[in-house]
Amino acid sequence: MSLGLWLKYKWRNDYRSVWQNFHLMTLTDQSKYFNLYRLGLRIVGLGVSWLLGFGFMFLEHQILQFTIFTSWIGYFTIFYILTPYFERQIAYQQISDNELNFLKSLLKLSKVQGEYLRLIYFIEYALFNTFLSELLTIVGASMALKTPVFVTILIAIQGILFHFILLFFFMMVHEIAVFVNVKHFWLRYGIFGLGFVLLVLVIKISSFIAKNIEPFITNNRLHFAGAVKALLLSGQSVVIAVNAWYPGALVIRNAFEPNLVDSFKILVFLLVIVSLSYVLANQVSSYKQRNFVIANQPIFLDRWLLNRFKTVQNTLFYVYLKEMFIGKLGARRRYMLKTLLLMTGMFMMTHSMASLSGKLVFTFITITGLLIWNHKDTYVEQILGFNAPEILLLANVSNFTFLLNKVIAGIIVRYFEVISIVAFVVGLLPSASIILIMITLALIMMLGQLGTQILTSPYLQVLPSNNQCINRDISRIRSRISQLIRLPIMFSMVLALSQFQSLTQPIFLGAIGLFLLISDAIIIVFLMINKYLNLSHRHMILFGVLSLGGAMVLALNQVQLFQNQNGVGLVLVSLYLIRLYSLLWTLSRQGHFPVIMARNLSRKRK
Amino acid sequence: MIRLEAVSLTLGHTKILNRCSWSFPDTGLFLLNGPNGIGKTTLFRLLMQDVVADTGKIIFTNTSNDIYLVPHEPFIYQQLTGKEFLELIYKVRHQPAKYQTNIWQLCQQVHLSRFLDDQIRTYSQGMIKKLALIAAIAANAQVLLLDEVFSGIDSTSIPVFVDQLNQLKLTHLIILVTHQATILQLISAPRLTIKDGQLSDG
Repeated sequence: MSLGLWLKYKWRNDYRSVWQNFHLMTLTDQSKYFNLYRLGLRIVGLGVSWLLGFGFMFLEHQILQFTIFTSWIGYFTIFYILTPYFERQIAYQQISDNELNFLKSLLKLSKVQGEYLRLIYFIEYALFNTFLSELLTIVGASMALKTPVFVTILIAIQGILFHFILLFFFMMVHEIAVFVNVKHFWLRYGIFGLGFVLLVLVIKISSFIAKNIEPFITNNRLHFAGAVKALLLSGQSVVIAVNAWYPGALVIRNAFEPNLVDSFKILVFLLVIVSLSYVLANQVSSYKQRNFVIANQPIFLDRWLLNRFKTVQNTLFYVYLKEMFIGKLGARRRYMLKTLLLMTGMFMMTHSMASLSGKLVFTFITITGLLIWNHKDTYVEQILGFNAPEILLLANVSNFTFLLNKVIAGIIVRYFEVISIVAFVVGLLPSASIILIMITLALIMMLGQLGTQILTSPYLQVLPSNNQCINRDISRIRSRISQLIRLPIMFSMVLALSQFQSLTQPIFLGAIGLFLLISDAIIIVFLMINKYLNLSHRHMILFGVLSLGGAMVLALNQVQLFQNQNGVGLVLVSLYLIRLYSLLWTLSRQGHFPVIMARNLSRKRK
Repeated sequence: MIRLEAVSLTLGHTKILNRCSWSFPDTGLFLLNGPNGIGKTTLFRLLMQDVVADTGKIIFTNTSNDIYLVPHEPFIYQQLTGKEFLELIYKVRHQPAKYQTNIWQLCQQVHLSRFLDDQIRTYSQGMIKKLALIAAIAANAQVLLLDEVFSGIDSTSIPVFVDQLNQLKLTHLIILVTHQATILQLISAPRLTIKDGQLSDG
């Protein structure tokens, strides 16, 4: 009853919120034409929904040549299995944390009950707002594949069930993750690890099918679209190979050929998910009631490292451990571990692939993924101070030795990405001469960054750890700059791989080196210009994109990339520019780049 | 009654509570004051189970889950009218008609009644504060946690609210955080503060 009352008022509030201030020229919510306009919008929206379903299936079936069965599996996976993960965030937006606190007061709810409420509201919201759209999408999909109505209805019913149960599951996982604070790192990576193992398994299973795709890839040589298509086809084979246990495939099969056994399997799967969600929710509840000490306990790795340190003779070992693995919120070890994990995983996957095209695509995915993934690890760049007990323990080490080791450890952390990429490529590429060239490239990269390193390296300075304000400013600036620095690395690596045959040519190496030097110089100039000229955000972005892009084109011309019409190169150039644009946008939102100012401030404080 | 038993809480690097033990009775009004950052709001969050204590227990007797928090920046449905918002509160909380009449009278006394048919988004900050405080009173919860609720409220309305709180304290537990000297002068109630991680008489 109370819930219904609350929903009534909440819905009224949200409805007004949507249409508040909705003006189109002179058309306001007071106008008699307003409802007509709204209806028009709704019809256009529904048309788009239909088109989405139709287009998605057309792409799968007609262009990618998936079978009807696999096309439906793809649809089911995207719309009912993957989207709940993202919708979880939308669900959280429907009831904010502030509102949740209000509801806890108003409706006398516990935290977990609040989460249930969020879900209930989201279902209500989804049903009222998206039901028609979803129906039209599935009708579009069904029309594209000429699927019988009965099958479509079965897919929709099962899909909606999956949709909300998975949504609830993800919400509960999120709740647990938030509650256990630091430990959610392990939870997330546990899930990731599991997914990864499955992926490797899937790749292994489909490896025999890959042989059939091999001629296709060979015919298409280095054509990017061809490689993607090959990958998708291999994905299709994978889905077929594992459809015995993959719930999406199970549901689709059951829709086409309904049988009791499959229905039972689906029911069991749903029950498992529901039970798991329920257990997770109740775990949260019981933890809260017992006031468990979880949030502030050191996690396993910290304790292990510190215990080991006590028995290690060489105390400098601790310097390395601290530099690499101990940092605020576990950012450093997260950075190290995920880099290693991704690299190892992708190495295994690419190693099992026979075609060069596949390797190139995977390499590109790896490096881009890694750089995007590491995007938010600002704490990696933070200067690590040593506290009094640690300094006492290190008293028997001379200052010079201590600083030297700290710098080396810092460089390892800083260049771990580069080192991993090099290791990855060394494992990937067959020829010894190419390995040597790659190592040379890595060295050039490091040299190319020298200019920016002089300005920004945290490892050449030893600031007191209590100087948090300055440390924070500098680390923020440094992390932004380091993101810029990563771009040429990423670019040169993929360029090197895409121009596989050119690696032996000195001109290619020269072009890469030139590009790195030019781009680094531009970054420095860019920062300094912004400091003194106070450029507007748009100008900063434009300037950055034009200058770095110009440097890249200059380098590319040296290796005649454009003349080769190489699909990989062109796509990468586009992605590079997009990434650069987003980085510069982020940078511009920070206001100025007060590197020099921060350094001056730092000196004054000292 | 709310009893804290050896409760410790650290947020970030700041130790807010350190094996703190304290009992709040079932009824009464308490003023919680002290400098910014000592953990007054965090204590409220702890009581709302919004944060979890590192160690220790918080025992609620007779008040389980019936705690109404009015934060410094209260949440209110901006698109509803003031009247609709109050209706939501007392309908959900099943308040009798007589009680509702008192609430409308209170609105009149604090000069809010003529705005009740307007959407809340058109209200000033002070009016929103008034409405949030009236809603808290309308909810008639066993425990009221009020965090800086008087800031922004005009000086003629403050004595009206103080009278209300003085009446409510006979049947409810109210913990009020305020820094305003005028409020401290108007309210005669035990004062508490948080010092060295302990709740103590202020």
